[in-house]
Amino acid sequence: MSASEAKKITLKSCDDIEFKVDIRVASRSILLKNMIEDVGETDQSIPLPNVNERVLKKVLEWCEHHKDDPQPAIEDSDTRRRNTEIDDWNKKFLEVEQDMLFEIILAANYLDIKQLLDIGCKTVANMIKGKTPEQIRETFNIQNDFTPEEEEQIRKENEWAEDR
Amino acid sequence: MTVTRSRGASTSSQPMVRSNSNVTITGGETRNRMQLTVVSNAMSDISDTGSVVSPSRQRKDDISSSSSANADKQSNSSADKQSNSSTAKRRQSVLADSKTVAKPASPKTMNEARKPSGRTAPTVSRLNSAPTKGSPGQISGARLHRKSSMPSTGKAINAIAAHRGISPTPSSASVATDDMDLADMDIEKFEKLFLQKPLSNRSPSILSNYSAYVPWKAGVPIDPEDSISVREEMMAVYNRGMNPSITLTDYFAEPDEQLQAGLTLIQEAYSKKFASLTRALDEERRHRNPGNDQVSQYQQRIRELNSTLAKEEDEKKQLLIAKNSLQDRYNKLWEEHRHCDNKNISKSAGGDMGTSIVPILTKGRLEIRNYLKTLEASERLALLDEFLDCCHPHDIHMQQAMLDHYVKTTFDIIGTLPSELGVKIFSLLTAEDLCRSRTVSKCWRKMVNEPDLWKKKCLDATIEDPEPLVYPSDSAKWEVIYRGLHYREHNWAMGNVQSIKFLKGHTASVTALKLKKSTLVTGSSDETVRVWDVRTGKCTKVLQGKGVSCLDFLPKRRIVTAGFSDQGRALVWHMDTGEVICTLQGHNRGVKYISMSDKHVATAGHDMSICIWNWRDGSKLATFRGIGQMILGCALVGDNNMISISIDGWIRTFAIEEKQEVHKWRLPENAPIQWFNASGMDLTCATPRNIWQLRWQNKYVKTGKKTPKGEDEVIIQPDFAADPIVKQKIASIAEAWCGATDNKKGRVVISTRFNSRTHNNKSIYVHSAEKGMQRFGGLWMRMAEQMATISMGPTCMDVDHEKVIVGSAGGSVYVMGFVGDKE
Repeated sequence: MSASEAKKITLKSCDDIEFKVDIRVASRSILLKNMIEDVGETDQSIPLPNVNERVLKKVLEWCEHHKDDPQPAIEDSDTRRRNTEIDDWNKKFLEVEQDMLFEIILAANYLDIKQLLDIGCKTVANMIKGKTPEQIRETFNIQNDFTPEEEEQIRKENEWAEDR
Repeated sequence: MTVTRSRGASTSSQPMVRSNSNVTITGGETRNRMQLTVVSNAMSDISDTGSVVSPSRQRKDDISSSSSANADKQSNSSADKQSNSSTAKRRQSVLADSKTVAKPASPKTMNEARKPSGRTAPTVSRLNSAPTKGSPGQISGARLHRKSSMPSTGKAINAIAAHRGISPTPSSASVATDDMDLADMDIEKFEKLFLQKPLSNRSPSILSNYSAYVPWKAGVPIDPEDSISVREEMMAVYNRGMNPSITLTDYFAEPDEQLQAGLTLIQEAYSKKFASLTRALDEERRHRNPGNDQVSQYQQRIRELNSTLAKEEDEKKQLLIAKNSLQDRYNKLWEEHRHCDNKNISKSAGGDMGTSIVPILTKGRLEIRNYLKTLEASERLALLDEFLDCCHPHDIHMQQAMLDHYVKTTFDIIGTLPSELGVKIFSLLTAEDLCRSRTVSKCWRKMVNEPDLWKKKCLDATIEDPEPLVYPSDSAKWEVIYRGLHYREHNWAMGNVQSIKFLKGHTASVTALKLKKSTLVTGSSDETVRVWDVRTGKCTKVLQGKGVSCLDFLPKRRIVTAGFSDQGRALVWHMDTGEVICTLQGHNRGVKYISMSDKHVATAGHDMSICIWNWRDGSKLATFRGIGQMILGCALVGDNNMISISIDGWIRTFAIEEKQEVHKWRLPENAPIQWFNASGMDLTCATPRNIWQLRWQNKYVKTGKKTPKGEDEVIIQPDFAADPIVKQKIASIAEAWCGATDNKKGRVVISTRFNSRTHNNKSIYVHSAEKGMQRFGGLWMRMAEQMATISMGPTCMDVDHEKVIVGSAGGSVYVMGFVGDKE
C-alpha cells in the first residue's frame, strides 16, 4: 500500500457529487479499503449509493482527521465495556443535528468505519443515559403510544431492574 | 373725557379680536371724522379679558406710536396727528369691562334702552365721536366682544370635548364660525351702504364749503364737550325713534343758502348714518341676544359635560377597584396553582406576577413547564392553538423556522435505525436505562425486546466469569438470564447475601484458603489440607500434614502446596491422588507465606528469608535474605518475578534468575500493612485506615531477535523495575483483618476481626466502583446471631464472580452466594 499512499481516488455520493480523496483517508473505511485492494487503482469514481454529499463530506472530514490513527487493535474487552468516554475532538465532531448523527451512523455502518460507528453509538447512548422516559421522548420527539394498561404491564416487566 | 381706558393686556387676549371685524366708516377726504366705538362686554360673566385693536389695518402714516392699549394717550395726541394728515385713519378698540363702560353718564339712557331683558350681564354701547361735532367722518367700530369671544368659547368647548374624548358638537363649532362670518359681512355691508357711498359721491366743493362752517378748525384740539354734545344729539334722535323731522337745520341758527345746501347734505348724510347706525345697533342687538343664548347654551353644555366627566371619573374609579380585585384574585389563583400543581416546585418568592409576562417567564419558567407537562395532549394542543391564533403572522413565520430546526434536532434515531444498530447502541446502556427506554414507545419497546440485545448484555456481563455462559435453547430466554446476572451483580455490589452454604470438615481454625475456578483448597490448624469441589460442596481429598499456615495450588496441574507454622518446611501434593511430590525444607523457623507458579514455589519464612524452590524436585533455587524482619508475604508473577511485602510498607521486586532485588518502593502511608492480596500485576494492601490498590505497568522489550519481516521482535513484560501506580486508595470504614479481591470486577471484600474487643463490629464489607463500600446484609444479616460470632470470625477468605468463601476461627468454611433475587 505504501506506493499508493499519495494516490487519490474519486468517490461519488448518491446525489452525484464527486470527492477526490487520498487513498489513505479513504482506507479508514474497510469497505473502500477492500474495494481498492480488490479492484486495484482506478480512475473511475466509486459510487456510494447510500451516502449523500452532506454526510459523505462529514464522514471524510472524520477520516481525514483520523487517517494516521493506528488500525484498531483488538480492544481489551474490560476497558471497552467500561469506557463510554468520547474524546473532545470526536465529541465536537458529533455535535450535529440529530438527523445528521443518524446519517453518520448509517454511513459509518455502511462504509464499515468501526471507530466512527462506535463513537456515534456512544453519543446516542449518552443521550439516553439516565433520562426518564418522558425526557427521552422529548429528546427524540417521540409520541407515547401506549395505553395505560400497556404502561402498567411494562412497569411490571421492568420491576426487576429497579434499584433496590 | 369719556374715552375709556383699555384695561386688558394685548397679549393675553390676542385671539379675541380680528382686525377685519372692526367697524370702520371712512369719511373719504374729509378731515372730519367720527368714531363709533361699540363696546360690548356680553361675555363678561365668562371672561373679563379685553379685546385688542389689531393694527393690521392701520395705515403707515397713522400714529405709529399710538398704542391701542393706551386710549388716553392716543386721544390726546390724535389732534396733532389729524392736523398733519387729513386722510389719516385710525381704528381704535377699547376694551371695557362693565365698570368702566358704565361710567359715561350720557349714554346711560341708551344703555338702558338696549339692555336685553332678563340679562344680568352689563351691556354697554358707546358712541365716541373723537373729532368735532357735526363733522361726518370716520366711524370706527370696535368689534363686538361677543363675536370674538364666541369662537374662543367654541374652542374651549371643543378642547374640553377633545380632552374627554367626546367629539365636539357640530352646533357649537358651526355657530362660532357662522357668527364670525356674519360679523365680517355685516361690517362690509355697513361700510358700503352706510357712509362711504354717500360721502364719496359728494362734490369736493360742497365738501370744502361745508368744512368751512364747521366750527372745528384744523389744529384746534378737540373739545370733548363738542363730541359729547354731538353724541348726545345723535342719541336723542335715536331715542326719539329716529324721527327725521328733527333736522340739523334746527341745530344751527340762521343758515344761508349755501350752508343750507351743505347742511341738507350733512343732514342727509347724518340721517342715513343714523339709519345705518340704527340698523347696526339693531343688528348688534339681534346678534347679542342669540349670542347670549348661545353662551348660556354653552354653559349648559359645559355643565352637562362636567357632570359627564364626574360620572366618568366615578366609572373609572369603579373600574380601577374592579381591576385591583381581579388582580388580587389572579395572584391568589396563581399562588394556589403553584402550590397544588407540582411537588417538584419549591416555594419561590414573589406574588408580583401578572403585571407582565416577562417576570413570569423569567421567574416561573419551571412552573410553566411543569404545568404544561401535567396537561393532557388535547389540552396542550388547545393551548397551543390559542397561542398561535393570537400570534402575529410574522411570529408564526419565525416559529416555523424554529420548528423546522426542532424537528431536525429531535430526530428519533433509535426508532429509525436498523435493528442491529439499535442493539449496538442499547448494549451500551445499563439495564435500568434499557427498562426506561422500553416505556418510551412501542417502537422502542420492540427494539429493547430484541433477544440479540440481551444476549450481548449477557456475554458482556460474564466476560470475566471463570466459566462460560451456557447458551439457552430459546433466544427469548436471554433477557431472563440477564436478569439473573443483573441481580447477581447488584447483590454483589450491595453485599446482599443470597445464600450461605457450610463446608464441614475442619475441626480447628482455618488458616489458609484458596479458590480457583471450582476447586477450593483449605488448610487448618487441625493439620489437614482439604480439597473441595465448590459446585457440589463435597470434600474431595484430605491431605495430612502439620499445622497449616499457608497454601497455594495449580488447578490445572492438580498440584497443591502448603507451608507449616511450626516447622520450617512445606509439602507438595498431588491433590487428587494425595501423593506427596516433595518436601521443601530449608527455613529455620515456620513458613509464613507460600506462592506457587508453573515453575517455582516461593516461601517466606519467619526466619526473615524468602526461598525459591523447584517444586518438581524440591530443590532450592535461591534464597533472598536481608529483607528485614517483617516480611508479610511474597508472590510469584510469571516465571521470573517475585514481589515481597513487608509489614512496614516496603514492597520489593526480585528477579529470580538473576537472584537479585530489582526495585523497592514504600507505601506512602506510615502504617503497618495488615493484609495483602497479590494477583498477577495487581497488589492490594490494607492498612488499618486504607486499602491500597497497586498495579505494575507493562513495558515493551526487544528480544534481540528479528521477525520474519526483518523487524525487531518486541515482547510485552511487566515492568517491575519501576514503581507501581496507585490505582485506588479506598478509605476503610473498618480495620481489615483479612480480605480478598477480584481485580477483574474491581471488588474488594474485607472483614473485621471477630473478637471480643468492643470496637470491632463483626462485619464484612464489600467495596465496588459502582456502590462504594457496603456492609454485608441480606441473609448474612438475618443469620447474624449465628454468623456474627467469634467462632465464625473470618481468618481467611477468597472470592469469585458469584461468591465469597470464608474460613473461620472456629473451623467452619462457609460459602456466601450472591446469585438470587431476594431483597
